[in-house]
Amino acid sequence: MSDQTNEEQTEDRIEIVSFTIGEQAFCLNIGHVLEIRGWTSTTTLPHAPDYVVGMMNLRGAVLPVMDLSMRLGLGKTVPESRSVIIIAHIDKKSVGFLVDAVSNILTVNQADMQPTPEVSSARTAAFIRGVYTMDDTIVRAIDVHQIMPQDNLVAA
Amino acid sequence: MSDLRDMFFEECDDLMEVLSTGLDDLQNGNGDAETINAMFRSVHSIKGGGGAFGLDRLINFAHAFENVLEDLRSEKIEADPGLIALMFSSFDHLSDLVDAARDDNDIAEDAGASILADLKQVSPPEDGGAEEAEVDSADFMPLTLDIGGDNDFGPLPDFDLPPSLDLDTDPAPLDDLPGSDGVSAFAIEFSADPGLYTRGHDPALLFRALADLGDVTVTADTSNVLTLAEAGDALAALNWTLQLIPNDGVQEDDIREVFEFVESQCVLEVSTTVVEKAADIDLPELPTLTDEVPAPDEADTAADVTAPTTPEPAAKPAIKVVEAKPVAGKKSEPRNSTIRVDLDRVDRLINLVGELVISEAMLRQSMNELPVSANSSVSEAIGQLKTLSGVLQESVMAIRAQPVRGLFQRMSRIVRESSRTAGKEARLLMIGDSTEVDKTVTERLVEPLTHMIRNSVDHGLETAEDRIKAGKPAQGTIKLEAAHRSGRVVISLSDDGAGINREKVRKIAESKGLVRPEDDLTDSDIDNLLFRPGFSTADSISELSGRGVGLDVVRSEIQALGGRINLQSEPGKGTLMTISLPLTLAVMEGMLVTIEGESLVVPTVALRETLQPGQANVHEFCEGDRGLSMGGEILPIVDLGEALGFRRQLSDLDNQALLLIEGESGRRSALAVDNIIEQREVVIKGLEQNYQSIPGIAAATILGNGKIALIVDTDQMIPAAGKSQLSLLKGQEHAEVA
Repeated sequence: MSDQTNEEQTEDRIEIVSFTIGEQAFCLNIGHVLEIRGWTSTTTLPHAPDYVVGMMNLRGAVLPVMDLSMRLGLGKTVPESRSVIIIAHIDKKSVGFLVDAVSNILTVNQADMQPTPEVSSARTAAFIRGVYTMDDTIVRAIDVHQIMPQDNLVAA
Repeated sequence: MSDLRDMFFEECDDLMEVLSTGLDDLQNGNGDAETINAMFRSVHSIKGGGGAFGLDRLINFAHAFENVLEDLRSEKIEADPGLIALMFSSFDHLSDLVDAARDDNDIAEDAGASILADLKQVSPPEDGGAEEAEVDSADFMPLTLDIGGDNDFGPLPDFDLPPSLDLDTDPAPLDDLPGSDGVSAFAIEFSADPGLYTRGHDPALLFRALADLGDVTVTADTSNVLTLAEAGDALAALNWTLQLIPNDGVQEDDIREVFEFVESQCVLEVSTTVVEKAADIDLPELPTLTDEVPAPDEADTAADVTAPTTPEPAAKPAIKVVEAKPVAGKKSEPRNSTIRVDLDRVDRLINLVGELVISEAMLRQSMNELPVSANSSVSEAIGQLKTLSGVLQESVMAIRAQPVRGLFQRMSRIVRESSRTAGKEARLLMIGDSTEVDKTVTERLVEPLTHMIRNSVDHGLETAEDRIKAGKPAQGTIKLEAAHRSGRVVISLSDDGAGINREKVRKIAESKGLVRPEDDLTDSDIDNLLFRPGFSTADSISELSGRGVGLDVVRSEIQALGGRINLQSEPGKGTLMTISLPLTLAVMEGMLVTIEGESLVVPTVALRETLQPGQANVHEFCEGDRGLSMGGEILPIVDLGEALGFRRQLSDLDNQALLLIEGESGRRSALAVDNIIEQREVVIKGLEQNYQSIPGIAAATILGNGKIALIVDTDQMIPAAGKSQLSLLKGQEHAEVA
């Protein structure tokens, strides 16, 4: 995934998928998003970090589903039928992100991304690359590489 | 051109394998004339191909190598250990050259120069010997001149060898060189046995394959053809005479190769002949082969063959050089017919078949939910579908299986190189190199095995003096062995070296803070310290190992393949490392169980028995530990739900079922689960691909209802000897390195 270079090389405009967790709006670069699916039940993983909901079956592929809310420190999501799983491809791995709802696909100006506010907690600093301002809301750009489960969390 | 190039390098791999096998045979004293012939042919073919692509260094070296083999073939020199060693280094260098050419890399100008010099010393290129050995070819030279009387030096077929070779005395069999004004050709007499047809072979196809090698003229001898009425039971009556004007580099062996699969069902005679270059003057324009040669579908259709009226070849075979030797590899295993298929295609097929098996299971499951009356007629068909998809899956998986020979041969080179660097004497003994393993596995084993072998040479084997002092032969032996054992592939690497110096290991581990001095460690605990990250026992960082990457990297590589590695060592006797790997990476038999509503699969390989716990045979110990008495032995009971963190400790096992499992090491334990559902074949889906490995879980699978079930890693569910608790539960380093 050389999205870093991609983002620099392509013109400034990029497309993002915006979604909500609780009251907050977040976004992913559309290049990472494979598809968006409704909630399906998952298989619980033993010894998994609390934000890993379980494994899901995506047409024969087995991939982990992460509770993005839990990962971002916003509390546990109780999946319901309205919940959505964003299937993303990051660092050669496919992963599902459990979020409350997908709101829009937006075209934004790359240069418009503002740095994460200084008030950030360590977690915010690690997982949020920056924010886009849309009308009166801000959309938080997720750092997909950081958000993935890190290998050392579950030592084999 | 790039296709041809790819093909050449693919061929090189095969040829190098033949060469390597031959060298091993020679070394072990199993070599015979045919071994040397095969080796000679390999080097020669590599040289020939190299010529086509202008790979000068490769050609020069192959040429010198070939000279030595030629002398060996003509028994001018003897395969003494010194020469064999030289040939091994030559082999290594040749494969370097091939690799460099393949990747368009340059290798150091002087690399291999000493080997080349040695080769030239053994068989000086100026020595006429090479020429003499080609007696048969040399003999027909004057005759070529006789036949092509007019001094017309017609355009010669392209001949791509670089000029340097022309200056050299080229020992290439001259029969693949065009004559001065005649062309050497092959006369092929071919008559088929009835068996050839009944096995579905078709001479027309063979001839067409020949046409790829050069210009072919086919003459059918129909004199023996009977009428349909007479023909009776499948008698093959057609004989053919073919004349082949070969393309550059086509050898008699290439022709024989075309007939390889029908060898036992035909009479084949190949001889060289010389025809005038302007052969088309004498030969009428021939219709295409397809029209010319009727394809006898069945043996008895031979009757309605209309024989082509091609005249006899212009020149009768000038000299019959009927090869006295049997076709390549009579003594070795018969060569199998192969095709090259892109691995991606195979993988796609495997994935599709995997999906098919899942769909089949889903169908079966929904059938079972229907009322019985509705499915009685369908169930039989479903049963057939199940059988078929099972067979299909097995066959598809078999496509990926490959003998470990290639892998082992690469290792033999590692042993040579690393023992040279370390200044030790070592030889590699290979056992079971025809064991078949999934291709991915063999590929991904290269790195770990290389590392393990370097370790063995560097740390395991002693120097020659030390070995003699210890009463061992000066040359150390490293044994690489592969075998199938209970549904897994076991590859073991052992050396007869000094074994693990546990005192030293412990001291280092303490100095690195891996263990505390007061820790009570068993021998195997200490051995397993070697697998801890960043561990290196070498006093000095040698060139070989001790680069900071230790056996921990080996272990994680093996784990990524679904395997585990074990280490046993006996001071003064040596060290044994055992890698155990799943046979295929895709399917396995498993017992479906449930715990707290979650479905799990326990691999059947490890399963010995299922039973219900009773008051009489379950014994409680401290902290809720339980044991099961079985035939005088008390086995630990592991609550799978608790081990995997699905539930807290159970107050009693009354409603549980027990699965008796046996691990790789032979130790046993009983797994407590809520329910046993059924035994079934499951498609293995790795967890590492999209996630990471999970302790206690080997992989996942998809059930008939589309749900995912986790496959239990049974070996991690067996408490290690001397440990009071499952290491897994305590989150400690696993006692068993897995």
